Amino acid sequence: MTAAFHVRAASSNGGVPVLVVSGDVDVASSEGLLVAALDAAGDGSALVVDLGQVTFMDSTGLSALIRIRTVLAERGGDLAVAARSRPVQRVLQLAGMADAFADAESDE
Amino acid sequence: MNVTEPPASDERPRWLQNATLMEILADVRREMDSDTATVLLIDRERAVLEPAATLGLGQATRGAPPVPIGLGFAGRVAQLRRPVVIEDLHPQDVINQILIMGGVKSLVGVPITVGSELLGVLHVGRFRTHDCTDDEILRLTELAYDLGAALKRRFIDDSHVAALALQRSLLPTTLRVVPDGMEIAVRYVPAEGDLGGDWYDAFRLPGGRLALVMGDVVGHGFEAAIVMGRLRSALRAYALEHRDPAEILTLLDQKICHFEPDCLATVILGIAEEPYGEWAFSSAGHFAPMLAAPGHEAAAVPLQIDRLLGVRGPALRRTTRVDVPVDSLLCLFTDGLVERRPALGSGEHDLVQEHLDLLAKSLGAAEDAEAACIHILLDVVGDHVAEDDIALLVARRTPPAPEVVGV
Repeated sequence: MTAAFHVRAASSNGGVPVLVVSGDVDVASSEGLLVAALDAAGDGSALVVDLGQVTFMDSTGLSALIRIRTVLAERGGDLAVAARSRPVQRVLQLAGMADAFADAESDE
Repeated sequence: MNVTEPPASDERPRWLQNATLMEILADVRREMDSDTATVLLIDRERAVLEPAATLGLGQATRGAPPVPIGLGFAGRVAQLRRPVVIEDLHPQDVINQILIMGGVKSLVGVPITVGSELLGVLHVGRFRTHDCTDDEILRLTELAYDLGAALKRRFIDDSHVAALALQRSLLPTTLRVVPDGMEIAVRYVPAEGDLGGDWYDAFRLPGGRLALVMGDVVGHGFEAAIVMGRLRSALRAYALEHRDPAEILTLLDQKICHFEPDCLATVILGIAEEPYGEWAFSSAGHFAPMLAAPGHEAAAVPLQIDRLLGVRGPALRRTTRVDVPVDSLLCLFTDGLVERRPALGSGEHDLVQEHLDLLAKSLGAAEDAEAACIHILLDVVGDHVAEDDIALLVARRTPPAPEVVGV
């Protein structure tokens, strides 16, 4: 049984777009995350993703995050993570990427 | 509440997703009025029979080991190429104790052939002793003939053939390289019948060294399997040139970043010299191995986990020394073995830790590598439908053989 994947774009105070992600980020939804993130980033090079409400993340979800970061890095920017749920933190830790993403504040 | 749905029935495991074969087996079981029906298929090297599908023994068959030609019940059917009947089954009659554990008391088996080619063995079992009639043997032989024709058709039609062949070549079910002093058993369970990017490898290196590898390429399908094949070869090549696992993984990382830009992979690599009592491990985003040493509780090896492969930018990679005393079991695995999607509303329940604990318990209780594989798949995976591939490698340091005192 999978928890519904959902994304919602918000704008933080600093004008950097924020994408709030909830549910399962897996093989069925990771492509959706990638598209939504690039959509939210628009022409900009900065984006914050809030992963505090992610209920499950697998390696394809991690793969999507890394690809988002790569695209933003090519534009001279970066991807920051505002919150990490426990499943997200575990995947990042196991992948040796716990410190790979910059922390960001979120209003959520 | 456990929301994970059980398989439609224990008779039709979804991990196999082999509808045609399972339907044929259901027919066989009905026709023969038997309790179990099993198909084993001969491997690429024609040395062992690999359990392919079975009805009536539940999920236990997932851990079934391959049967060498000539040994055990199915091995004898394959070697003799004629029907073999056992009316009152004893443990010494079979290689695969799962049959005994499942309560099978009598067996009749026939070879599956097409023309002069042996494809495998079909056998049916009953949970009681049974005097098999000539008519029954004849009927089973006819069914095996139909099955052989269906398999052959399927092999020709099915577009999975190439992928299957690739997987079989990359993931041998028996490792022939194992040196004296070590014993290795492996298992691979595909996700819902799909082909994935998990791989395991064990190979010897110059100077009597041995390398153990477990890796997982992100993604599924033929593409992931092809990339997996390339990484497997590259890792072997780097291991020939360099001794330090961290250095080998650094080179593999560079190779992936340069040549496979969309690929991510986790790998654990261990290398040891004879007599394999001290291992050097490095992990790129992969679970640390589980170690069960005599007199100690089985536990994850204390290993620094470095970044997975395929992420651009410099990464710190470290090698950790691990003592592996004689009679220890060392278990390498992919995340599919222990990762579970939490049931809705189950909150903070730590399913991964729960399954790591089960794995430790199972490994600690096992006596040898084959038994460890069987029990780990039964205890840790059980009836869970495999959402992700599972690769499992258990290595054991065997005690030295007693010295023969010559005259």
